[in-house]
Amino acid sequence: MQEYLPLASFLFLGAFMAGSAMLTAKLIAFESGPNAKKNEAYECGVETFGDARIQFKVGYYLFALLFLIFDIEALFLFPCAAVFREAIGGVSGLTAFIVMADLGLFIFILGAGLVYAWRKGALKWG
Amino acid sequence: MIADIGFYIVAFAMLVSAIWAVTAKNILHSALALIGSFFGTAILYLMLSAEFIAVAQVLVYIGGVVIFVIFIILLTSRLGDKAEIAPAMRKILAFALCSAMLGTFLHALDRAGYLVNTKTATAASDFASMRNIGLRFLDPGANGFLVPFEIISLLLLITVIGAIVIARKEGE
Repeated sequence: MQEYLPLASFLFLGAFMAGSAMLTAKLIAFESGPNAKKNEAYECGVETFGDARIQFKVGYYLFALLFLIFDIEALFLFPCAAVFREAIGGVSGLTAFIVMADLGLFIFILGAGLVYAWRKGALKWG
Repeated sequence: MIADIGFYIVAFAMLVSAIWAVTAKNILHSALALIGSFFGTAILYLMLSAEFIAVAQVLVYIGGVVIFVIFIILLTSRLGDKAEIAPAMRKILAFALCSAMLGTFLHALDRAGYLVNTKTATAASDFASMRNIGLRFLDPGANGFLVPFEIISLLLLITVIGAIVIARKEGE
């Protein structure tokens, strides 16, 4: 548990800095609330129409899906990376060759997925 | 002692963000509040020294699922505009279902002895550590999980192909 203290302090500091900046801005800012003049388009800007929220292309979804898949790949490589040095040194019957073959196969299969996505043009935008 | 205080702080934050996620009028706020709840879960996993599951929680749930939820909100244009008020009947049904699920979990925990003796639930010690899981993944022997590990890769490959086949238009 102790080894996570630096992480916790970074998390706290980050949240504190962002939060205190927002709070300070809120405290020292002059606020007059929205009114018709204030909500006008600035200077020569055009009047807005329609809704700010529009429909997005499905392409975003495909990218998110591909991201998620390689995200999970990274997740499973995490514990392997944590023991990599130990494992190639030969702990619990592992040898450098076995470890390389294991991880090589794992990455090769997913690499095939990447090649497939590439060849199908799924990585191209538009 | 400090861990106890930490637990209560994290649990309280989780509870607040979970209730916020359920009650928020704007569905986008619900999705953001869900991040807080998931992050609290990750911290609890860390406190139980289940590092791998904590990393999985952050990578898959926060990095994946919540991002997907936000994408879906953006993809469906009208969903975020107005809060849909659920009819009372549906609320009662949802409450009953959630209560039944909580009851089931509590019953299972009780039968496993975790509700009476809290000491057994304190830490998974070395069992679920990164190191142990990594070694088991790479071990081709009888104790190892090499085949499932490689099959995960295959499963992800199938998912890539399935996603592309479904999302891409024909003839592109």
